[in-house]
Amino acid sequence: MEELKELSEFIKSGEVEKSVDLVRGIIDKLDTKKIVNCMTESMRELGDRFEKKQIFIPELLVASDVITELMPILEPYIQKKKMHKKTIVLGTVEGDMHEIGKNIVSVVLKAEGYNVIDLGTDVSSNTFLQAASDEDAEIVGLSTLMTTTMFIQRDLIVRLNEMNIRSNYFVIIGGAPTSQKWADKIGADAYGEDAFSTAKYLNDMQ
Amino acid sequence: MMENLGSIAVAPLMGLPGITLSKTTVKDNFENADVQFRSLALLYERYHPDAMFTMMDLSLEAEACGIEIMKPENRGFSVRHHPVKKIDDLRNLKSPNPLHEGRMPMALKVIENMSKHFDCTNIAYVIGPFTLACLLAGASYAIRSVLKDKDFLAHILHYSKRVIYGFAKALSENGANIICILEPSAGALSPEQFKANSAVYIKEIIDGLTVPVILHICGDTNVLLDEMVGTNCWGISIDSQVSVKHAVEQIPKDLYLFGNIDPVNVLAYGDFNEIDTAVLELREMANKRENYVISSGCDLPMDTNIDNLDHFFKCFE
Repeated sequence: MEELKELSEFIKSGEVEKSVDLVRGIIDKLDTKKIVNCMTESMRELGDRFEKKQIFIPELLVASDVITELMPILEPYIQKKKMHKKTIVLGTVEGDMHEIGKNIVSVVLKAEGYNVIDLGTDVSSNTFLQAASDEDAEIVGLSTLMTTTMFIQRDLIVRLNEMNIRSNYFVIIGGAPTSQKWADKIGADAYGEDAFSTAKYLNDMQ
Repeated sequence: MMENLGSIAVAPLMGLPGITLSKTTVKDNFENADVQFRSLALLYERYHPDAMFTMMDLSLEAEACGIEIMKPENRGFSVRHHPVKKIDDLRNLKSPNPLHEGRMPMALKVIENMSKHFDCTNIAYVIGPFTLACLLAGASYAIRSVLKDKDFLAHILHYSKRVIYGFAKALSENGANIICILEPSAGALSPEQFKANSAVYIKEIIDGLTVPVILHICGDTNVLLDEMVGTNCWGISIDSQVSVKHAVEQIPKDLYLFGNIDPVNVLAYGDFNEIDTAVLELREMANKRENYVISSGCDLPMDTNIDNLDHFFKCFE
Protein backbone atom coordinates (compact mmCIF):
# COMPACT_ATOMS: atom_id res chain seq x y z
CA MET A 1 0.00 0.00 0.00
CA GLU A 2 1.39 3.36 -1.08
CA GLU A 3 -0.24 5.17 1.86
CA LEU A 4 1.37 2.88 4.40
CA LYS A 5 4.80 3.36 2.84
CA GLU A 6 4.25 7.09 3.05
CA LEU A 7 3.05 6.80 6.65
CA SER A 8 6.17 4.86 7.57
CA GLU A 9 8.37 7.60 6.12
CA PHE A 10 6.39 10.29 7.97
CA ILE A 11 6.75 8.39 11.25
CA LYS A 12 10.47 7.89 10.81
CA SER A 13 11.04 11.56 10.02
CA GLY A 14 8.78 12.80 12.81
CA GLU A 15 6.16 14.44 10.61
CA VAL A 16 3.28 14.69 13.05
CA GLU A 17 0.72 16.69 11.04
CA LYS A 18 1.28 14.81 7.80
CA SER A 19 0.95 11.48 9.62
CA VAL A 20 -2.26 12.49 11.36
CA ASP A 21 -3.81 13.78 8.11
CA LEU A 22 -2.83 10.62 6.30
CA VAL A 23 -4.22 8.27 8.95
CA ARG A 24 -7.48 10.21 9.21
CA GLY A 25 -7.81 9.79 5.46
CA ILE A 26 -7.25 6.04 5.40
CA ILE A 27 -8.64 4.78 8.68
CA ASP A 28 -12.09 3.99 7.30
CA LYS A 29 -10.70 2.39 4.18
CA LEU A 30 -7.94 0.19 5.60
CA ASP A 31 -7.84 -2.61 8.13
CA THR A 32 -6.71 -0.90 11.38
CA LYS A 33 -4.37 -3.76 12.05
CA LYS A 34 -2.38 -2.81 8.93
CA ILE A 35 -1.96 0.75 10.19
CA VAL A 36 -0.92 -0.46 13.64
CA ASN A 37 1.50 -2.92 12.03
CA CYS A 38 2.93 -0.08 9.97
CA MET A 39 3.57 1.92 13.15
CA THR A 40 5.10 -1.10 14.84
CA GLU A 41 7.36 -1.92 11.91
CA SER A 42 8.46 1.71 11.54
CA MET A 43 9.41 1.90 15.22
CA ARG A 44 11.20 -1.46 15.00
CA GLU A 45 13.22 -0.18 12.04
CA LEU A 46 14.18 2.88 14.08
CA GLY A 47 15.03 0.53 16.95
CA ASP A 48 17.47 -1.37 14.74
CA ARG A 49 19.09 1.85 13.60
CA PHE A 50 19.25 3.09 17.20
CA GLU A 51 20.95 -0.12 18.29
CA LYS A 52 23.52 0.32 15.52
CA LYS A 53 24.04 3.91 16.66
CA GLN A 54 22.91 5.21 13.29
CA ILE A 55 20.27 7.37 14.95
CA PHE A 56 19.99 8.77 18.47
CA ILE A 57 17.40 9.95 20.99
CA PRO A 58 16.28 13.08 19.06
CA GLU A 59 15.24 10.95 16.06
CA LEU A 60 13.41 8.49 18.33
CA LEU A 61 11.71 11.30 20.16
CA VAL A 62 10.22 12.95 17.08
CA ALA A 63 9.05 9.57 15.78
CA SER A 64 7.48 8.88 19.18
CA ASP A 65 5.65 12.20 18.90
CA VAL A 66 3.97 10.89 15.77
CA ILE A 67 2.88 7.64 17.45
CA THR A 68 1.58 9.62 20.45
CA GLU A 69 -0.65 11.68 18.15
CA LEU A 70 -1.81 8.68 16.15
CA MET A 71 -2.79 6.51 19.13
CA PRO A 72 -5.94 8.46 20.12
CA ILE A 73 -7.15 8.17 16.52
CA LEU A 74 -6.50 4.44 16.42
CA GLU A 75 -7.47 3.60 20.00
CA PRO A 76 -11.23 3.16 19.40
CA TYR A 77 -10.50 0.74 16.57
CA ILE A 78 -7.89 -1.10 18.66
CA GLN A 79 -10.38 -1.47 21.53
CA LYS A 80 -13.11 -2.65 19.17
CA LYS A 81 -10.92 -5.31 17.65
CA LYS A 82 -9.46 -6.35 21.03
CA MET A 83 -5.94 -5.97 19.72
CA HIS A 84 -4.40 -5.21 23.12
CA LYS A 85 -1.75 -7.42 24.61
CA LYS A 86 -1.03 -7.25 28.36
CA THR A 87 -1.44 -4.22 30.60
CA ILE A 88 1.67 -2.48 31.93
CA VAL A 89 1.84 0.32 34.46
CA LEU A 90 4.90 2.38 33.70
CA GLY A 91 6.56 5.35 35.32
CA THR A 92 9.73 7.10 36.44
CA VAL A 93 10.33 6.52 40.13
CA GLU A 94 9.88 9.06 42.90
CA GLY A 95 12.45 11.84 42.98
CA ASP A 96 13.28 11.51 39.31
CA MET A 97 11.68 13.86 36.76
CA HIS A 98 13.29 12.32 33.67
CA GLU A 99 10.70 11.34 31.12
CA ILE A 100 12.23 10.84 27.71
CA GLY A 101 13.33 7.22 28.02
CA LYS A 102 10.12 6.27 29.79
CA ASN A 103 8.04 8.07 27.16
CA ILE A 104 9.78 6.27 24.34
CA VAL A 105 9.21 2.92 26.09
CA SER A 106 5.56 3.89 26.49
CA VAL A 107 5.17 4.74 22.81
CA VAL A 108 7.02 1.67 21.53
CA LEU A 109 4.94 -0.63 23.74
CA LYS A 110 1.73 1.07 22.60
CA ALA A 111 2.81 0.62 19.00
CA GLU A 112 3.39 -3.05 19.83
CA GLY A 113 -0.18 -3.31 21.09
CA TYR A 114 0.25 -3.18 24.87
CA ASN A 115 -2.22 -1.40 27.10
CA VAL A 116 0.19 1.10 28.65
CA ILE A 117 -0.84 3.00 31.77
CA ASP A 118 1.75 5.77 31.85
CA LEU A 119 1.96 7.19 35.37
CA GLY A 120 4.43 9.92 34.40
CA THR A 121 7.47 10.98 36.39
CA ASP A 122 8.23 11.30 40.11
CA VAL A 123 5.84 8.40 40.82
CA SER A 124 5.66 7.19 44.40
CA SER A 125 5.75 3.48 45.22
CA ASN A 126 2.21 3.77 46.59
CA THR A 127 0.99 5.15 43.26
CA PHE A 128 2.66 2.30 41.38
CA LEU A 129 1.06 -0.28 43.68
CA GLN A 130 -2.37 1.31 43.54
CA ALA A 131 -2.33 1.67 39.76
CA ALA A 132 -1.11 -1.89 39.24
CA SER A 133 -4.00 -3.14 41.35
CA ASP A 134 -6.63 -0.79 39.88
CA GLU A 135 -5.65 -1.51 36.29
CA ASP A 136 -5.26 -5.23 36.86
CA ALA A 137 -1.80 -4.94 35.36
CA GLU A 138 0.41 -7.92 34.67
CA ILE A 139 3.59 -5.86 34.23
CA VAL A 140 5.15 -3.05 36.25
CA GLY A 141 7.82 -0.96 34.52
CA LEU A 142 10.13 1.19 36.65
CA SER A 143 12.39 3.75 35.04
CA THR A 144 15.08 5.97 36.53
CA LEU A 145 17.92 8.00 35.08
CA MET A 146 19.74 8.83 38.28
CA THR A 147 22.07 6.78 40.44
CA THR A 148 20.59 8.61 43.40
CA THR A 149 17.06 7.26 42.83
CA MET A 150 17.84 3.71 41.67
CA PHE A 151 17.29 2.38 45.16
CA ILE A 152 13.58 3.17 44.79
CA GLN A 153 13.31 0.40 42.19
CA ARG A 154 14.69 -1.95 44.82
CA ASP A 155 12.38 -0.59 47.52
CA LEU A 156 9.27 -1.19 45.42
CA ILE A 157 10.22 -4.84 44.91
CA VAL A 158 10.78 -5.14 48.65
CA ARG A 159 7.28 -3.69 49.19
CA LEU A 160 5.77 -6.24 46.78
CA ASN A 161 7.48 -9.03 48.67
CA GLU A 162 6.36 -7.72 52.04
CA MET A 163 2.77 -7.52 50.77
CA ASN A 164 2.99 -11.10 49.43
CA ILE A 165 1.97 -9.92 45.96
CA ARG A 166 5.34 -10.13 44.25
CA SER A 167 4.26 -13.05 42.07
CA ASN A 168 1.28 -11.05 40.77
CA TYR A 169 3.49 -8.79 38.71
CA PHE A 170 6.31 -9.08 36.22
CA VAL A 171 8.67 -6.26 37.18
CA ILE A 172 10.89 -4.82 34.49
CA ILE A 173 13.36 -2.02 35.22
CA GLY A 174 15.25 0.36 32.99
CA GLY A 175 17.08 3.67 32.76
CA ALA A 176 20.61 4.72 31.87
CA PRO A 177 22.40 3.76 35.10
CA THR A 178 20.57 0.44 35.54
CA SER A 179 21.76 -2.88 34.21
CA GLN A 180 21.06 -6.61 34.19
CA LYS A 181 23.38 -6.81 37.18
CA TRP A 182 21.26 -4.28 39.06
CA ALA A 183 18.07 -6.11 38.06
CA ASP A 184 19.53 -9.36 39.42
CA LYS A 185 20.68 -7.66 42.58
CA ILE A 186 17.27 -6.22 43.44
CA GLY A 187 15.23 -9.21 42.24
CA ALA A 188 13.57 -7.61 39.21
CA ASP A 189 12.26 -10.02 36.60
CA ALA A 190 13.93 -8.28 33.69
CA TYR A 191 16.09 -5.38 32.61
CA GLY A 192 15.14 -3.40 29.54
CA GLU A 193 18.23 -1.84 28.04
CA ASP A 194 16.11 0.38 25.83
CA ALA A 195 12.54 0.64 24.57
CA PHE A 196 13.06 -1.86 21.80
CA SER A 197 14.73 -4.56 23.85
CA THR A 198 11.94 -4.11 26.43
CA ALA A 199 9.31 -4.66 23.75
CA LYS A 200 11.16 -7.65 22.34
CA TYR A 201 11.53 -9.20 25.78
CA LEU A 202 7.85 -8.76 26.59
CA ASN A 203 6.77 -9.98 23.15
CA ASP A 204 8.86 -13.11 23.52
CA MET A 205 7.11 -13.79 26.82
CA GLN A 206 3.62 -13.63 25.31
CA MET B 1 47.52 19.71 39.82
CA MET B 2 46.84 15.98 40.24
CA GLU B 3 50.38 14.96 39.20
CA ASN B 4 51.90 15.66 42.60
CA LEU B 5 49.40 13.55 44.44
CA GLY B 6 51.13 10.18 44.39
CA SER B 7 51.59 7.42 41.90
CA ILE B 8 47.89 6.60 41.60
CA ALA B 9 45.38 9.35 42.19
CA VAL B 10 42.02 8.41 43.70
CA ALA B 11 39.02 10.72 43.68
CA PRO B 12 35.51 9.27 43.49
CA LEU B 13 32.62 11.60 42.67
CA MET B 14 31.35 11.56 46.21
CA GLY B 15 29.47 14.19 48.12
CA LEU B 16 26.11 12.71 49.03
CA PRO B 17 27.54 10.00 51.34
CA GLY B 18 28.85 12.91 53.42
CA ILE B 19 25.23 13.66 54.24
CA THR B 20 24.93 10.23 55.84
CA LEU B 21 28.10 10.85 57.84
CA SER B 22 26.92 14.24 59.06
CA LYS B 23 23.41 12.93 59.79
CA THR B 24 21.92 15.94 58.03
CA THR B 25 19.47 16.23 55.14
CA VAL B 26 19.90 16.86 51.43
CA LYS B 27 17.97 20.11 51.80
CA ASP B 28 20.25 21.35 54.57
CA ASN B 29 23.32 20.53 52.50
CA PHE B 30 22.04 22.08 49.29
CA GLU B 31 20.94 25.29 50.99
CA ASN B 32 23.47 25.88 53.73
CA ALA B 33 27.16 26.29 52.89
CA ASP B 34 28.31 25.49 56.41
CA VAL B 35 26.34 22.24 56.52
CA GLN B 36 27.58 21.15 53.08
CA PHE B 37 31.16 22.00 53.98
CA ARG B 38 30.89 20.01 57.23
CA SER B 39 29.56 16.97 55.34
CA LEU B 40 32.36 17.22 52.81
CA ALA B 41 34.89 17.72 55.61
CA LEU B 42 33.79 14.44 57.20
CA LEU B 43 34.50 12.67 53.91
CA TYR B 44 37.82 14.46 53.51
CA GLU B 45 38.99 13.67 57.03
CA ARG B 46 37.93 10.05 56.73
CA TYR B 47 39.48 9.31 53.32
CA HIS B 48 41.93 12.04 52.31
CA PRO B 49 41.26 11.56 48.59
CA ASP B 50 43.48 13.24 46.02
CA ALA B 51 40.64 15.51 45.02
CA MET B 52 37.37 16.58 46.59
CA PHE B 53 34.28 17.53 44.64
CA THR B 54 31.49 19.81 45.79
CA MET B 55 28.03 18.22 46.09
CA MET B 56 26.39 17.45 42.77
CA ASP B 57 23.31 19.67 42.50
CA LEU B 58 22.00 20.00 38.97
CA SER B 59 19.27 22.49 39.89
CA LEU B 60 21.49 25.28 41.17
CA GLU B 61 22.05 27.20 37.92
CA ALA B 62 18.42 26.85 36.82
CA GLU B 63 17.23 28.31 40.10
CA ALA B 64 19.60 31.25 39.71
CA CYS B 65 18.03 31.85 36.29
CA GLY B 66 14.67 32.26 38.03
CA ILE B 67 13.22 28.77 37.57
CA GLU B 68 11.08 27.29 40.35
CA ILE B 69 12.75 24.36 42.09
CA MET B 70 11.31 21.52 44.16
CA LYS B 71 13.29 21.07 47.34
CA PRO B 72 12.34 17.88 49.14
CA GLU B 73 13.95 17.25 52.51
CA ASN B 74 15.97 14.20 51.61
CA ARG B 75 16.35 13.71 47.91
CA GLY B 76 17.83 15.71 45.05
CA PHE B 77 16.36 19.05 44.05
CA SER B 78 14.65 19.23 40.68
CA VAL B 79 13.08 21.79 38.39
CA ARG B 80 9.30 22.10 38.79
CA HIS B 81 8.42 23.83 35.49
CA HIS B 82 10.26 24.38 32.25
CA PRO B 83 8.88 27.73 31.08
CA VAL B 84 11.16 28.55 28.14
CA LYS B 85 9.30 27.48 25.01
CA LYS B 86 10.19 30.29 22.62
CA ILE B 87 13.03 32.76 22.16
CA ASP B 88 11.10 35.64 23.77
CA ASP B 89 10.71 33.58 26.98
CA LEU B 90 14.43 34.04 27.60
CA ARG B 91 13.67 37.68 28.45
CA ASN B 92 11.84 36.50 31.57
CA LEU B 93 14.96 34.81 32.91
CA LYS B 94 17.55 36.50 35.07
CA SER B 95 21.15 37.14 34.15
CA PRO B 96 22.42 35.77 37.42
CA ASN B 97 25.26 37.45 39.25
CA PRO B 98 26.96 34.53 41.04
CA LEU B 99 27.68 36.73 44.04
CA HIS B 100 24.01 37.37 44.69
CA GLU B 101 21.62 35.09 42.84
CA GLY B 102 19.92 31.98 44.23
CA ARG B 103 22.22 29.47 45.85
CA MET B 104 25.26 30.46 43.80
CA PRO B 105 26.76 32.46 46.73
CA MET B 106 26.30 29.36 48.89
CA ALA B 107 28.26 27.27 46.37
CA LEU B 108 31.01 29.93 46.29
CA LYS B 109 31.28 29.78 50.07
CA VAL B 110 31.56 25.97 50.00
CA ILE B 111 34.44 25.99 47.52
CA GLU B 112 36.11 28.84 49.39
CA ASN B 113 36.03 26.79 52.59
CA MET B 114 37.26 23.71 50.77
CA SER B 115 40.23 25.62 49.36
CA LYS B 116 41.09 26.93 52.82
CA HIS B 117 40.81 23.65 54.70
CA PHE B 118 41.34 20.73 52.29
CA ASP B 119 44.91 20.01 51.32
CA CYS B 120 43.97 18.44 48.00
CA THR B 121 42.72 19.45 44.58
CA ASN B 122 39.30 21.05 45.03
CA ILE B 123 36.86 20.62 42.20
CA ALA B 124 33.60 22.54 41.76
CA TYR B 125 30.74 21.35 39.60
CA VAL B 126 28.80 23.41 37.10
CA ILE B 127 26.09 22.15 34.79
CA GLY B 128 26.65 21.91 31.02
CA PRO B 129 24.92 24.20 28.51
CA PHE B 130 22.75 21.55 26.87
CA THR B 131 21.67 20.19 30.24
CA LEU B 132 20.75 23.68 31.43
CA ALA B 133 18.80 24.19 28.19
CA CYS B 134 16.94 20.93 28.95
CA LEU B 135 16.05 22.21 32.41
CA LEU B 136 14.88 25.58 31.11
CA ALA B 137 12.84 24.27 28.18
CA GLY B 138 12.12 20.71 29.31
CA ALA B 139 14.28 17.82 28.15
CA SER B 140 11.82 16.56 25.52
CA TYR B 141 11.30 20.07 24.18
CA ALA B 142 15.02 20.81 23.97
CA ILE B 143 15.93 17.46 22.45
CA ARG B 144 13.09 17.75 19.93
CA SER B 145 14.47 21.19 19.04
CA VAL B 146 17.78 19.60 18.04
CA LEU B 147 15.93 18.52 14.89
CA LYS B 148 12.89 20.76 14.74
CA ASP B 149 13.86 24.22 16.00
CA LYS B 150 17.58 24.82 15.81
CA ASP B 151 17.29 28.60 16.02
CA PHE B 152 15.40 28.45 19.34
CA LEU B 153 17.89 25.98 20.72
CA ALA B 154 20.86 28.11 19.67
CA HIS B 155 19.41 31.10 21.55
CA ILE B 156 18.83 29.14 24.74
CA LEU B 157 22.29 27.57 24.50
CA HIS B 158 23.95 30.99 24.16
CA TYR B 159 22.10 32.15 27.25
CA SER B 160 23.04 28.97 29.13
CA LYS B 161 26.68 29.35 28.17
CA ARG B 162 26.79 32.90 29.58
CA VAL B 163 25.23 31.79 32.88
CA ILE B 164 27.57 28.83 33.26
CA TYR B 165 30.67 30.78 32.32
CA GLY B 166 29.91 33.48 34.88
CA PHE B 167 29.34 30.91 37.61
CA ALA B 168 32.42 28.83 36.70
CA LYS B 169 34.59 31.94 36.67
CA ALA B 170 33.31 32.95 40.12
CA LEU B 171 33.95 29.43 41.46
CA SER B 172 37.52 29.54 40.16
CA GLU B 173 38.04 32.97 41.74
CA ASN B 174 36.79 31.58 45.04
CA GLY B 175 39.18 28.67 45.24
CA ALA B 176 38.22 25.96 42.77
CA ASN B 177 41.38 24.41 41.35
CA ILE B 178 39.37 22.67 38.67
CA ILE B 179 35.86 23.07 37.26
CA CYS B 180 33.94 19.93 36.39
CA ILE B 181 31.22 20.46 33.79
CA LEU B 182 28.34 17.99 34.16
CA GLU B 183 26.53 17.54 30.87
CA PRO B 184 24.32 14.44 31.38
CA SER B 185 21.60 15.41 28.90
CA ALA B 186 24.09 15.51 26.05
CA GLY B 187 24.39 11.74 26.37
CA ALA B 188 21.21 11.57 24.28
CA LEU B 189 22.87 13.12 21.24
CA SER B 190 24.77 11.84 18.23
CA PRO B 191 28.39 13.01 17.88
CA GLU B 192 27.36 15.65 15.32
CA GLN B 193 24.43 16.82 17.44
CA PHE B 194 26.67 16.93 20.52
CA LYS B 195 29.27 18.99 18.69
CA ALA B 196 26.70 21.54 17.46
CA ASN B 197 24.58 21.77 20.62
CA SER B 198 27.01 21.25 23.45
CA ALA B 199 30.69 20.90 22.61
CA VAL B 200 31.09 24.26 20.84
CA TYR B 201 29.57 26.06 23.83
CA ILE B 202 31.63 24.06 26.32
CA LYS B 203 34.77 24.93 24.36
CA GLU B 204 33.93 28.64 24.60
CA ILE B 205 33.46 28.29 28.38
CA ILE B 206 36.75 26.42 28.74
CA ASP B 207 38.65 28.87 26.56
CA GLY B 208 37.47 31.74 28.76
CA LEU B 209 38.52 30.15 32.06
CA THR B 210 41.98 30.15 33.58
CA VAL B 211 41.53 26.90 35.51
CA PRO B 212 41.43 23.39 34.02
CA VAL B 213 38.08 21.81 33.21
CA ILE B 214 36.92 18.20 33.45
CA LEU B 215 33.98 17.19 31.30
CA HIS B 216 31.62 14.52 32.66
CA ILE B 217 28.73 13.01 30.72
CA CYS B 218 26.71 10.22 32.31
CA GLY B 219 25.99 6.93 30.60
CA ASP B 220 27.45 5.32 27.50
CA THR B 221 29.52 8.05 25.86
CA ASN B 222 31.75 5.78 23.77
CA VAL B 223 30.64 7.53 20.56
CA LEU B 224 31.10 11.02 22.01
CA LEU B 225 34.69 10.72 23.26
CA ASP B 226 36.31 12.30 20.19
CA GLU B 227 34.03 15.32 20.38
CA MET B 228 34.53 15.57 24.14
CA VAL B 229 38.28 15.73 23.55
CA GLY B 230 37.65 18.50 21.01
CA THR B 231 36.32 20.83 23.71
CA ASN B 232 39.88 21.60 24.90
CA CYS B 233 39.05 20.13 28.30
CA TRP B 234 41.84 19.15 30.67
CA GLY B 235 40.22 15.89 31.67
CA ILE B 236 37.35 13.58 30.82
CA SER B 237 35.30 11.67 33.36
CA ILE B 238 33.69 8.50 32.05
CA ASP B 239 30.72 6.59 33.44
CA SER B 240 30.80 2.87 34.16
CA GLN B 241 29.11 2.01 30.85
CA VAL B 242 32.15 3.25 28.92
CA SER B 243 34.87 0.73 28.13
CA VAL B 244 38.02 1.93 29.90
CA LYS B 245 40.15 0.26 27.26
CA HIS B 246 38.30 2.15 24.53
CA ALA B 247 38.57 5.41 26.47
CA VAL B 248 42.31 4.95 26.98
CA GLU B 249 42.75 4.45 23.24
CA GLN B 250 40.53 7.38 22.28
CA ILE B 251 41.64 9.99 24.79
CA PRO B 252 45.06 11.59 24.17
CA LYS B 253 47.63 10.82 26.86
CA ASP B 254 48.04 14.46 27.85
CA LEU B 255 44.40 14.57 28.97
CA TYR B 256 43.40 13.29 32.39
CA LEU B 257 40.98 10.39 32.45
CA PHE B 258 38.66 9.93 35.43
CA GLY B 259 36.66 6.78 36.02
CA ASN B 260 34.92 4.52 36.19
CA ILE B 261 33.96 2.13 38.98
CA ASP B 262 30.26 1.33 38.89
CA PRO B 263 28.90 3.70 41.54
CA VAL B 264 25.79 1.68 42.29
CA ASN B 265 26.40 -2.02 41.75
CA VAL B 266 29.93 -1.95 43.11
CA LEU B 267 30.61 1.02 45.37
CA ALA B 268 27.17 1.66 46.85
CA TYR B 269 25.60 -1.77 47.09
CA GLY B 270 28.30 -4.25 46.05
CA ASP B 271 30.46 -6.43 48.27
CA PHE B 272 34.17 -6.19 49.09
CA ASN B 273 35.07 -8.78 46.44
CA GLU B 274 33.40 -6.75 43.73
CA ILE B 275 35.25 -3.64 44.91
CA ASP B 276 38.57 -5.51 44.95
CA THR B 277 38.02 -6.77 41.41
CA ALA B 278 37.09 -3.33 40.09
CA VAL B 279 40.01 -1.65 41.86
CA LEU B 280 42.47 -4.23 40.57
CA GLU B 281 41.33 -3.68 36.99
CA LEU B 282 41.61 0.09 37.24
CA ARG B 283 44.95 -0.06 39.08
CA GLU B 284 46.37 -2.00 36.16
CA MET B 285 45.07 0.64 33.81
CA ALA B 286 46.41 3.44 36.01
CA ASN B 287 49.83 1.81 36.07
CA LYS B 288 49.88 1.67 32.30
CA ARG B 289 48.59 5.17 31.60
CA GLU B 290 49.76 8.47 32.98
CA ASN B 291 47.13 11.00 33.91
CA TYR B 292 44.64 8.42 35.07
CA VAL B 293 42.53 9.10 38.17
CA ILE B 294 40.63 6.22 39.72
CA SER B 295 37.14 7.47 40.30
CA SER B 296 33.52 6.41 40.29
CA GLY B 297 31.60 6.39 37.01
CA CYS B 298 29.09 8.84 38.42
CA ASP B 299 27.87 10.37 41.66
CA LEU B 300 27.53 7.98 44.60
CA PRO B 301 24.03 7.59 46.07
CA MET B 302 23.39 9.01 49.52
CA ASP B 303 22.83 5.57 51.06
CA THR B 304 26.15 4.23 49.76
CA ASN B 305 27.39 1.62 52.20
CA ILE B 306 30.07 3.47 54.18
CA ASP B 307 31.85 0.17 54.89
CA ASN B 308 32.23 -0.17 51.13
CA LEU B 309 33.74 3.29 50.80
CA ASP B 310 36.09 2.52 53.72
CA HIS B 311 37.14 -0.68 51.98
CA PHE B 312 37.59 1.09 48.64
CA PHE B 313 40.00 3.64 50.11
CA LYS B 314 41.84 0.97 52.14
CA CYS B 315 42.71 -0.67 48.81
CA PHE B 316 45.04 2.29 48.17
CA GLU B 317 46.73 2.53 51.55
